[in-house]
Amino acid sequence: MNWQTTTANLFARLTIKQMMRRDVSIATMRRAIDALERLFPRRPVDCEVAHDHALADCEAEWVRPRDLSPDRVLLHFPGGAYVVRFPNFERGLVARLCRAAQARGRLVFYRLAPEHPFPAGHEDGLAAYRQLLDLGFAPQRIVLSGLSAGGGLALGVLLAIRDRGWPLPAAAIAMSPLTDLTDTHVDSSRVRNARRDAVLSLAHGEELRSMYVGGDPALYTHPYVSPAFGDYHDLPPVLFQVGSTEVMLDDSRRAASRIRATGGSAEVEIWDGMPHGWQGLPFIPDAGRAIERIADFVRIHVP
Amino acid sequence: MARLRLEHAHLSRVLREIEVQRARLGRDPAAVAVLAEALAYLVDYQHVHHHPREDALYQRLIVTRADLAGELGALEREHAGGARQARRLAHSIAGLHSAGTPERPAARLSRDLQRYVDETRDHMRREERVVFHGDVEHWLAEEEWRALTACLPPDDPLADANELRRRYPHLAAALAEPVREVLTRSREMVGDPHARSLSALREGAADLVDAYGELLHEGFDLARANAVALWSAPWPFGPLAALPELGRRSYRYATRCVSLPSRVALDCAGRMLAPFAPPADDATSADPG
Repeated sequence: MNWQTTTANLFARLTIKQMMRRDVSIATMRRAIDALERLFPRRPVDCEVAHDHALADCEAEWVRPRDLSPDRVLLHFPGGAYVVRFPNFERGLVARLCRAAQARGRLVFYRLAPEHPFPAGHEDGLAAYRQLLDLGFAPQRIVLSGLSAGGGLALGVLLAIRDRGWPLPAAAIAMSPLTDLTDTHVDSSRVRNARRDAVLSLAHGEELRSMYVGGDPALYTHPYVSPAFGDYHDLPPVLFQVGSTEVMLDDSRRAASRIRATGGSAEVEIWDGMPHGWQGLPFIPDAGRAIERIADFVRIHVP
Repeated sequence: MARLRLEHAHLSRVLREIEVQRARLGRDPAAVAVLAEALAYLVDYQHVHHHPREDALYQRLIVTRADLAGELGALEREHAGGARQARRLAHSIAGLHSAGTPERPAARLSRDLQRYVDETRDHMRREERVVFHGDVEHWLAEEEWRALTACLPPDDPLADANELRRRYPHLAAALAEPVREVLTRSREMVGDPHARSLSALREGAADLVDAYGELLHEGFDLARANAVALWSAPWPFGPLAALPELGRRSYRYATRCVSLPSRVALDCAGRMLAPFAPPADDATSADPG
């Protein structure tokens, strides 16, 4: 492992992982993340950020490489366990994805729990997709993407788009997605990788998932909440990228197996020793590689 | 243009596979066969049929879009350089094949392959920016497009799964893999005690970082709590009265600072030594009765 990844792991272990292990309120967590966010630039280099075409219930931004007017669109949902967000980090990630894939990005800051439990965020995702169609973007030029909880949300939105009979996007990308909120698998990566994962701790996982479903455990198996239980017939291909030491490694594996079992197409990339969300850390060499591979995937399905 | 765009998509599929397989060079003999076929595809189709058509297009575009002459000329030159590079890499892969022991040159070849992948991606990106996603369909007259598409090459083998399997069976099988391990660094064998011990050391180091992180945050909390206790105690004797409690808390914290890392280190040492422990005799074979 290179020194950049080791440094990122060390930093994450001392900050984010500790925060997730400790009994801190959501407000405290959001304040701490605001402080961490100062490490990332507010405006990505070489990209314009615009706020036109507002959504009714949540904020959304356009991220567009300066010298391009591409017709590919990346509809991106940020991560943060459905309760927090990292806007600068995600904006930087979307900017690099857009530059590599020659696409314009639509970054949707869907509503967060516990103030807005499911289905608020999910509906925001659907509204953002509907808006793209209404604005005249061809569905076969749209790719859904998401990181962590945003990856799970992207898959849930993909299922809902098909269920509503809307035109389908070209593909979906799930980076270390959270796809299974039931947490009933005893011998899973949630247990095996609990110590190896440099970023995430599930010490308070029960509280977080309960917040997302508004305290209704019956929703844990709902396919829009836990897309690992979805039926993926007639859906476009999905690319999963996940680190081998992540607690959520099996979320990707399980969702991909489910996709293939129900007639869909899924590809999983397991990156050796990469921490959760490494694609968004520009100083890690493998982040650039991962982004290039995502861009290739976009080019394959949106030629 | 649709055909050229589709061929870029196919090229991207192959580049992704080369990137995965080149990291396995020297460890997984199957990687050599996949890489040999991937490069054969690039040499036989992309560099022979795809790039010459792009070159013909660029030569016509230079006439109508003189402002792009510099960029289009550079793209054309890169086609020639890319073809030479692909042929050289294909030759090196064939050398590995016949040598049978690809350990020594694998690292250098792996780096060269990654450079080829990176350069080709960058080249494609510039082509898309300058030509593919521009208004290129309107830059040439209809008869010019007809002339360009008059003699189309044979179908891209990657467009037909059966043809791909027939001509490049190893590449086809690799492309169909649903799960890929990317950039695996480990040469560890599951049963190798040294490797398992090393893995335990890595996990122990991570545990130690977690432990110190926990202590650091606890230390901040304690300092804040102590400061609040002192500040909120009634003056002049309140702070003095609070000191014993503060001392007890600080003492507990100090003992944790010593005991927690030691416990983690001991646990790690135990796990590092465990792989070297003799296997437990099973009672039935040891028992003569």
